[in-house]
Amino acid sequence: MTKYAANTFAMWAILCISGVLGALLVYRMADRVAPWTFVVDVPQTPVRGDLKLQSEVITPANEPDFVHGASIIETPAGLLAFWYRAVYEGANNAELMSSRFDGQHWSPTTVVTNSKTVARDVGLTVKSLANPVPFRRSPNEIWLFFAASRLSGWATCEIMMMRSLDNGRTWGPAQRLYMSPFLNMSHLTKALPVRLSGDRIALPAYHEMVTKFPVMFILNKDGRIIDRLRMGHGGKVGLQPSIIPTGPKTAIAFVRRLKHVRTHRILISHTNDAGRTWTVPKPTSFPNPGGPISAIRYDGTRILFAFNDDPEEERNIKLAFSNLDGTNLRRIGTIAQMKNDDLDDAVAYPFLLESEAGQFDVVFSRPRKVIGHVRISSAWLEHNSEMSAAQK
Amino acid sequence: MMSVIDYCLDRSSSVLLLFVAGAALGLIVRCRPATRIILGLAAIAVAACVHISIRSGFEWIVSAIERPSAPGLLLLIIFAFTTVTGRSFDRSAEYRFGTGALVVAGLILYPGATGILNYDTYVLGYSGYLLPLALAALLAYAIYRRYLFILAALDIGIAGFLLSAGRSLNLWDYVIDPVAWFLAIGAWIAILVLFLFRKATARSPVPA
Repeated sequence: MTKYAANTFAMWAILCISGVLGALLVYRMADRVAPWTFVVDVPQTPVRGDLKLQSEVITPANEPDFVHGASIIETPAGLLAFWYRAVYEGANNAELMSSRFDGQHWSPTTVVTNSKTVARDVGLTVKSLANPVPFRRSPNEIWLFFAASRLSGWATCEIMMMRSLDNGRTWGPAQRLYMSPFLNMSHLTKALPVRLSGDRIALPAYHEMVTKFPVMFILNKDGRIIDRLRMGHGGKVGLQPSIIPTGPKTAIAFVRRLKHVRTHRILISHTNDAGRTWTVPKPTSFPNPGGPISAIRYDGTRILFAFNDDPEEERNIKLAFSNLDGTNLRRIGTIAQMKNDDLDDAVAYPFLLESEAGQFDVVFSRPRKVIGHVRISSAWLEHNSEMSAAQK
Repeated sequence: MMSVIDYCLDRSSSVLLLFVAGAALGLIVRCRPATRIILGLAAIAVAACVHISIRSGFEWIVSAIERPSAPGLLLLIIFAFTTVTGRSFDRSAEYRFGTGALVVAGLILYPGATGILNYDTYVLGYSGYLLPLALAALLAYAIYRRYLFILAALDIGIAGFLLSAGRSLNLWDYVIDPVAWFLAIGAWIAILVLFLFRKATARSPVPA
């Protein structure tokens, strides 16, 4: 074969390959992400339990480091709590910690992973870790989402995931979730994921760099991102959404306000198309100092949520009921309080879970050294709710 | 095997960028090509030795800039070749078209995807006809003009996406990356400056 013939052959080969790949691409992309609906889990919440709150401190009394971003999940062996620990917020060599609750006592803390192990898992150096959020994938499988900062500051975070196939006893390597075309920065987790039809899940997250806004990511059964939906029409609208499905296509999201905005109130956004579009977050009548809201479905008509009832500081954590469209909010009672008006003792980042029918658990941090836990019964909630209504 | 490929791909942008920076320095001070190669390698070595906080400068850059897309890798290789040989591609129509397409694609993608604009253009890479049709049009034009380097880069990117070979399932991540975008912007600034310089030189009177 002459050189000219070889060149001509190579050129035609590339031209043919290009044509075939172009056609395959159009065919493949035509309907890649099938429509989804929310899986609506309406708990039957019997009125049961003690009228007293049960409170414990999870972290050791002599905890030397900064601890924050606590979350919990129910397992057959009891409640399993996660949080992050570092010398200071965002410091090098952070650790994701865990502890188990047998109903009376929290076990000694154990390290789930740390920055160095995560760096080894993903092949890139990682500076710090934050905001672990567990999700029950199946009866034995837990996925743990967390934010990992690659450079410096939370704006350089990406979200990673670890899997446990034995209810949190052992963990697989961390894997990166690809969420942004710009260096895969800057998204963070905070709230519980939501189940979708087709074995998919929606992961609530937020964008941090330059403009802060809430985002909902769609993950397939393998935990890979297959779509993302900006919540609240973009712009600087809020962060850390907590999404509660109220119907197959409807949901409400409680959104943390931004620090610089004038309206110091909890924001609410709605969707009527299974999260494809979200309304602009609107302020409610409840205050928000710029802290996250943790919400869960309580029963057929109500949502239960934990929040900081103060427009300026995280002085307390209260529980409240909301109707399903967020138009009627009612305080129930205080479950944690700052001591002696000392801002270093603020009670921050509540994470709420219904661990059993009629039994609720909240974990929170007293930055910088304490992770606290409060167990609440539905009897306490109903009793205090009635008292609150009577006072009105 | 795959993890070795991942490891190398994750570091390819950083290696080539540092090499280009070192070799470009040699080009500016008019060193010979061999010296430019040494300077390029020296830049990588210096970055590996200098520490930023608890890690080397090289690992810091690796963590910062991610792996390249197929067109991005091609552009980095062209830049490395240019800085070593001193050969300029600004008169090549394929080079101008390729870098121009990257500039436009980046302008469409990044302001929306990073929240500066309210419309999220990144989602076009998950499903729908718009982005694949735009790429098919780009391929058709490249076929028509016989732009073989552009065709090869796009083909590799599209094949990677179709095989779900990368970590992302978004088509955008296979055909553009931020480093390629910034390099393409730099390339077009250089093209315009050289064009204006040549125009000014052509107009100036020739001394008798």
